[in-house]
Amino acid sequence: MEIPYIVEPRKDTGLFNSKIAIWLFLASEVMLFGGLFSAYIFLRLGADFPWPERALPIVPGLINTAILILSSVTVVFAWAELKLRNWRGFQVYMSITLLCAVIFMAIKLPFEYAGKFSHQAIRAENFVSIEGHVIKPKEKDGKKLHPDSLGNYLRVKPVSTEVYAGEEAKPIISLSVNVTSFYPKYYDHILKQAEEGKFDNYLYLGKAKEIDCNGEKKAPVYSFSFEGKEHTFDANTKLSIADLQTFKDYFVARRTQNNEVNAKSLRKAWKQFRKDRKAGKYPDAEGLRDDQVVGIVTGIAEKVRAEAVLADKYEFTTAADKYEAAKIVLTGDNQKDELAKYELEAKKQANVLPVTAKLTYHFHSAEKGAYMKFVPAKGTFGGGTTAVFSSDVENGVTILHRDKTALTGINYKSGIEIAVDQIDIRHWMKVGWLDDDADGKLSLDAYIGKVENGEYIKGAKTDELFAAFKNIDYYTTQSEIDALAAREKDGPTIEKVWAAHMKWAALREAELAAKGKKITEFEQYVVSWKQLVAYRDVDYKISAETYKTIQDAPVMQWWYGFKGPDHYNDKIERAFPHVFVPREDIRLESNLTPKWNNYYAIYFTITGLHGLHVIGGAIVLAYYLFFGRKMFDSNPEWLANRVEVGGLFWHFVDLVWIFAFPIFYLM
Amino acid sequence: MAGSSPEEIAKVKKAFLVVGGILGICTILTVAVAVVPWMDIGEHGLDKKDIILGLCIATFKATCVAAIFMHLCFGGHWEKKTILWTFFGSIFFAGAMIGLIALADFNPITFKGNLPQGSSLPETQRHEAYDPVTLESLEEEKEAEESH
Repeated sequence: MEIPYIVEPRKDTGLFNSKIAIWLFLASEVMLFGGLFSAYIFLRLGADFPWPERALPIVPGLINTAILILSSVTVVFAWAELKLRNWRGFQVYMSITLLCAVIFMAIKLPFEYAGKFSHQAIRAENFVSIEGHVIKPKEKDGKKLHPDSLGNYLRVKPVSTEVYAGEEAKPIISLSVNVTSFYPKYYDHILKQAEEGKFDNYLYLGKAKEIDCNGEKKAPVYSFSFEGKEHTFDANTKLSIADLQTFKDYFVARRTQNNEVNAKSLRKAWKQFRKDRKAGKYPDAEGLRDDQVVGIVTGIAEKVRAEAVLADKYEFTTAADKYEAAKIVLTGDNQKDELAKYELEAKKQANVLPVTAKLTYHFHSAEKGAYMKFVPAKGTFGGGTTAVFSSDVENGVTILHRDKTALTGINYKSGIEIAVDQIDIRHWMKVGWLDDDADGKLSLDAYIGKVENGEYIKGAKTDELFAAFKNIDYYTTQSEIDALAAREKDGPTIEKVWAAHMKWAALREAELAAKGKKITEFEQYVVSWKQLVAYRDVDYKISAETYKTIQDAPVMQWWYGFKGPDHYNDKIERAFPHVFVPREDIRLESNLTPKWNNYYAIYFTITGLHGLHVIGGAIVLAYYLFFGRKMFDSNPEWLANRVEVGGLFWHFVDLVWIFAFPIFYLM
Repeated sequence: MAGSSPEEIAKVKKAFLVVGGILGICTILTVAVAVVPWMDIGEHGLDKKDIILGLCIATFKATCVAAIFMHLCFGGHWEKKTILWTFFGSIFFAGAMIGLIALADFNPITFKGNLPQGSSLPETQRHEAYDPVTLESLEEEKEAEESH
């Protein structure tokens, strides 16, 4: 059966069917991208942090724009060639279109996106931010030239704490496991770390070494029957994933049982209460308040529950449970002997600890300087860490993981070593400054310093401003290692580049003032990677004479740097200060992804979705190119219509990029 | 599209080439406005005028793409009507959605003497019974307590 209106236009709309369909689809796409762009507008207007400006290198975006415009032209030319029944021409133009799509994605993914993923950003506790690349460790003659921090490891050393009452305090790393939520693979990692650090471990059962069990001294234990086996966890128990799993299964089974028991008891209690109320047991039942009713029912439920426990109706019941139940049920004078039996049984098992969701293990090592390394933010290891650092280093810090594992030890030389290619204090100015100076007594100059007569004068608090970023030794290539002495003298430090930047900003301000313009916040308070390179090229001698050299330097031009700061180019890398940022001074660290801020969130959302549209459109156009010959021979007008419809989608993709490019790359 | 004779197609291809060139020029213009100092209108750096100009150029480019590449200018009367209703209808709804979100910023709660700048709410809608708590009023209270 011939489907109508696939070639001839409909009389009412003047369009063939697929054209109506594609326009309806494009209308829905307008809503989609309209929503996303409006999200961008509101995120930018409502941002409580300094919105990144020119965070993306312009050249890749400009090339991509040109590529998409070219592809728009060629796709419509391909359609025109089909209308002229020129198959060869169609092939040529469609191939160029597809090639443009490939180039577009090739620039986007391995250059732009990969560049963002490998670029690190750190916001210090005082809101000063830096960006750069984590320094990879290098070796010379088998000797590591950098500590292997890689920004990823937390090193935890033992902290002294009293283990058992009366015993000498032993340095330990304490590991607290939540058995209901622990991530088993992470514990493989913990056990491996313990082995490497020569740590032994044992289960911590509380400060009491022995408990009086009706005249007999016994060590505390967890002890229970489960699935036909007896399980005992004593102080010699070492961390094992199988044990944790058993403990978890028992805990969950017991908790489930308790919930069922409670629910059943409450149901029975309500029934009993209604029965009693009907029987007139509560004369002023109408006047009872809700909380009074709940109190009565709870009391009945307690008794019902206690009776069920004493009747041994439930599997996971301990001697302590029975004694508690007996205290509720056996209240008569003639029941004292029976109650005493339950009490005696409970006392005999007084050393059996109640099973809870938490188990604690202590790791200790006789090796001096032993530590364990943990990866704080890797999806492989339990989904990462929310680090909680206490300021009391003496008593250790607790590092909380997402699976509720808690490590307590001394956070030791943990931090990120980073080659800095951007310094941004605008967020500090917005928020951190208020924290530092709540009385409003200190001027901005006290923090950032000032320039007088071409000389930079450090402020009283400038060192505090950058206190989190500790300059470290500087190694990159072999030639640099050999020239270390000279390098340390001439190498960049945070303070040196900041002083240079302040001088540059003063000259820039004067230049703009002469033209009746004002310097922007971005120029004043952000040191970009291009400026770092330009300052280094003039040996940090910023003056009216070198100012023009800096401004005219190729590195300072908008077209320089295809994928941003090239840390593998020695000439550029040498301009970047190497700093170590201790973990406790880090408020947030991230690569340049949605985790860092809303700008990257909306950037990746819009450009990512756009990229998916490019891929989808290219697949459809490729289908026409490689499999359209048959249709061209049988019904060329139909193929032309299909290509036109595919082309309409392609033009829409170009339309979205026409707006995305200036918004993300130029504003 | 109305008509598909070789002559008409050749004419249309010429139009496509011209529009492609215009798009390229506009792209260069957009970048130039952003990076060339003497083309920076308004205040130095990014300001409202730069944003408006950039978006105007982008809108012009988008119009060219829609009108020529997407055949809006070439279709017959009914074709144009259908497409325009569909496409611009969606733009209307997208705009309405943005407007609704913008309304979320509107806060009708007002206190005596603390109406936002340029508020259109009349005096009678202010809550006379409320005295706004401000830093100054807290300090005054504290001083009054201390003097007692």
